Amino acid sequence: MLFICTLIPTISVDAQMIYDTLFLDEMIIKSNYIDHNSSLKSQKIDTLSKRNLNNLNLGELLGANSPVFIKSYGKGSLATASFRGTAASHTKVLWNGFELNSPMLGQVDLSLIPNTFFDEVSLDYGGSSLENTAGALGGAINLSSGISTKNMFCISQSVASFNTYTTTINGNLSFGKLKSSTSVYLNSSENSFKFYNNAIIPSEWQKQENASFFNRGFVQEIDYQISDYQSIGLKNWTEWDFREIPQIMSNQLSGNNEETQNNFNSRTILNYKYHKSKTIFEVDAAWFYSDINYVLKTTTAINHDDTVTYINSTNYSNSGFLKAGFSHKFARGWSVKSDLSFSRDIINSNNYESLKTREKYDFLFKISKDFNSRYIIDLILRQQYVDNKFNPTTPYLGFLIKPISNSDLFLRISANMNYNLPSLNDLYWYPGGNIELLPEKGIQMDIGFNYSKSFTKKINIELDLNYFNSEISNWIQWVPGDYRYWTARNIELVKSQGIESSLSIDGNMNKIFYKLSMQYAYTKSTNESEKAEEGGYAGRQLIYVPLHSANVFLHLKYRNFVLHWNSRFTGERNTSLDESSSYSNTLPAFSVSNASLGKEFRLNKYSFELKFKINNIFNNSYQTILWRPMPGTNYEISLSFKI
Amino acid sequence: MKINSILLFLIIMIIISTFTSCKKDEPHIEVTEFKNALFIINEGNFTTGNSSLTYYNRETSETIQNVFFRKNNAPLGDVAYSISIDNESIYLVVNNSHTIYKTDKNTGIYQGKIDNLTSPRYLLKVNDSIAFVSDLYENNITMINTKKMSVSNKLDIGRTYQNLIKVGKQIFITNWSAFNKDKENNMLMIIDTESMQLTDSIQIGTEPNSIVKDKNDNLWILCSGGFMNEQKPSLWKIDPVNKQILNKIEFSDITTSPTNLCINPAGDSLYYLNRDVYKMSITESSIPQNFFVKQEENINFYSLAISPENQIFIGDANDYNRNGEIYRYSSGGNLIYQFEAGIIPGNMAFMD
Repeated sequence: MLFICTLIPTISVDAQMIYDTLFLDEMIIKSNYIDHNSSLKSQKIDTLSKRNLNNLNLGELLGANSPVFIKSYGKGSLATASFRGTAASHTKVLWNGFELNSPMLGQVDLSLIPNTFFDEVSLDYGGSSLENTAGALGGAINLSSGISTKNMFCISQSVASFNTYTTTINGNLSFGKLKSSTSVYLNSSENSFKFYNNAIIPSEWQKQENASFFNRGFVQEIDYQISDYQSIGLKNWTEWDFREIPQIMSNQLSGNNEETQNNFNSRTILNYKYHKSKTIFEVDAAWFYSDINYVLKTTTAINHDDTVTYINSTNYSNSGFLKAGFSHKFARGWSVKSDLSFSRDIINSNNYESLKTREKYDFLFKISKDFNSRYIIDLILRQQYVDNKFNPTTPYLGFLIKPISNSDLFLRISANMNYNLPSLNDLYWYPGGNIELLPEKGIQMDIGFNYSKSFTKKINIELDLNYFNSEISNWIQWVPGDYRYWTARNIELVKSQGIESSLSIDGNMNKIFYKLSMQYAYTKSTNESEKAEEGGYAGRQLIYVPLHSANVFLHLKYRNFVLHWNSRFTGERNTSLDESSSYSNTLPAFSVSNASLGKEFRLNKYSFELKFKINNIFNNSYQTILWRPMPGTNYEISLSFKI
Repeated sequence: MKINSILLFLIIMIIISTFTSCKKDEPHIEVTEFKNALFIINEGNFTTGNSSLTYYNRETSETIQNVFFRKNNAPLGDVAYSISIDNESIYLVVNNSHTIYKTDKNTGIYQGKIDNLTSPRYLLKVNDSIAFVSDLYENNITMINTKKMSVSNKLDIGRTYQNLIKVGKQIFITNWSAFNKDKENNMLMIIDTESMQLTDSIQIGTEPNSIVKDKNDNLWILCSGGFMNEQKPSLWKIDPVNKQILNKIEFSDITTSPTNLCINPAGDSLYYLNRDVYKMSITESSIPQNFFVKQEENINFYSLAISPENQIFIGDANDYNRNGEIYRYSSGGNLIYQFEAGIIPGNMAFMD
């Protein structure tokens, strides 16, 4: 939805030609997924796809359009990312350069990031993330936004199955040197979908209970152009989220269980930027506040006033950041980038013995040399100093080679080392946290190519193929200790290798614009630690990492009609370390397909779009997590209005 | 146009290929009627729903995992906790599914269920049609009609409790958990089956976790001393007729938590787990110094049972994340056989 609202601060060639409507005059198609000026593998999520899912969250967007496996407990429930077979804490999510990962958990709940709050999302694979952040052993997800100079207002309302209502509002205003952008997101759902419960005897159709949720928030951005070269900007993202946590399918007793989570987040970034020809100098200050309240209350089966369990866990986290960055392009293809940041996390949790903090200095240096656009070398060094201790330096070295001068074929090869800090829960959780923990260490190698070609003016093809090989040692795992509680220890050794491929084709055929994009990933990720050897599960695919995953998306546009099709396939996943195949040891493969048809209307200077969408068209029954049901076929209708 | 046609064809093919639907569940594997059975309840992980039932034939050593699923095409549920067998049926108490399943004794086929219990732990048949069900959180004993599989009554006894044992016309129950309750967890309570009333109680050690009856009809109760090791663990010998404490034996190390008190078929030797497996005669009046079976490195003894042939079965829960093992020892303490069970092998039951 919100087809019309997004403004992408990039330029492309054919976009205006293709989308010759008022709606889309600012819309740009990013035809190349992968940057051709760097050895880093950074992939942009297709903007057409992103726009089509603008009323949903980041987990749903990446699940449908990237090789990242999204481990979702259900719609509106916790969703985390597994990048290249790694754990959720190995994916870092950055909002305009600042990490959204919870300092307590080390991970991000992607279901709490509405797509309408950012304009562009790109994925930095493996070591390519080192330019933007440390510790992303799997990869990083960059969310960025910018303000257009054009005034606009757009509101969109959708109504969907299971009493789901979503409102998005986006507006831009500029007064001379002052620009403002506002996004509002209001989303609520009863989420009471029907599913066939085969986890009980006798099996039967049931309605999902205790699964409602809401997400409400806004992003406000203000930019002030001080001079031709200098600007100052302020961004704030404030969000309230609530969810009920449903029981698994086999647990049927209703009415005696109340499990909820309330989140409040407020994130503010203040940015000063100096940009003159080849020099950029930036200073940022940011403050992220988060308040998570988890409540579990159970009562006896006979008396709902007789409480038997009551957990009320409150966790406040404050993170302050200061960052200064500089980059310059010198003559003869040399360029340099450097930044220094300081952050301090302060956690107040009733799961810790006392207030806990972490102070971190992070220094980045990057140097690149471009040899006549045929060869590019990138060297990145990152150094962290955490709680008065130096971490080892993390290097990245990569090459981009263009073997044939008049062909857009690029070869990439790179190697890197990376360290991920233990989360504060790993260090300080009471009981079981372990302050002796070392950072997790990743070594990674990438080799791949990208080829793009325009056959005629009407057809463009881009193909990208990549092989990676990585090893993560000191992987942190909570294991049973000598006492009755579990403790965090650096014991696992995980080796992953795989292939990521993507193919995208777009063109025009008899006034029909089409774009087809396909991705396939093969990820082999195994535990090779001593513990795994002894336990006999070394070499077995890690749990919840599919060996195969693929997705396809097709976009067709004819006059004012837009058709969207998206299918994704997720292969079989292990849910247990044990080899023997049984019902609970593996989850079967599944595919889900969604389609939408939209039509645009114009009335003087007002524009409308009406869209109808069907999710899970083939009504496939599937689970991404064992015994967590997912909805069958469901519908959505939306209307957008824009000035 | 040629390229366009090819592309269009490609697009259509890809869309068609995504129509694939889900794989169906694994095929039924025929399990012949249960014989010489040892059943192992595999608890699985809390809120994961991966409990299972393992069947082992003590004569042929045939082992079948996931018997409940194979017979009934449904998972056992979330944190299966205990198994009881009567003349006709097997009762499987699935704690966090709030359910008791009843299956046929010989085939394991589903016969009925009760699915609205708070936190059921053990089931004890009291007579032909009535069973008591203990509950981790309720202050009641739930009486169920095992023929109809329905709750027939609740008997308020003021405390939560765990183990149940019948001696004559009395039922002895242990008050194991102090979780979220204001009372101390150190009681042995007695219910008369004729009046169905709580008639008496005896104060014993903190956190009584297992209870057995010896050949002289005396009761032995093992108390672990509390979750935070508030007290030294202790073993109590009680005369159930006169309700007299005959002996109290303390363990020397307060940091240990002995569990799983069992007794041999002759009723004269006690076994329990305290990391290693220990064995002591009912005539002894001190804690044995030497183990009977040592828990080797990377082994995690979690459950214990003595078979009618007087063999010792020990469940190894491994790291609680992958399938456990069962070790079968002779009465002399020699390893006879070893086989895999499910995740966290817990309560065991024998059947001829």
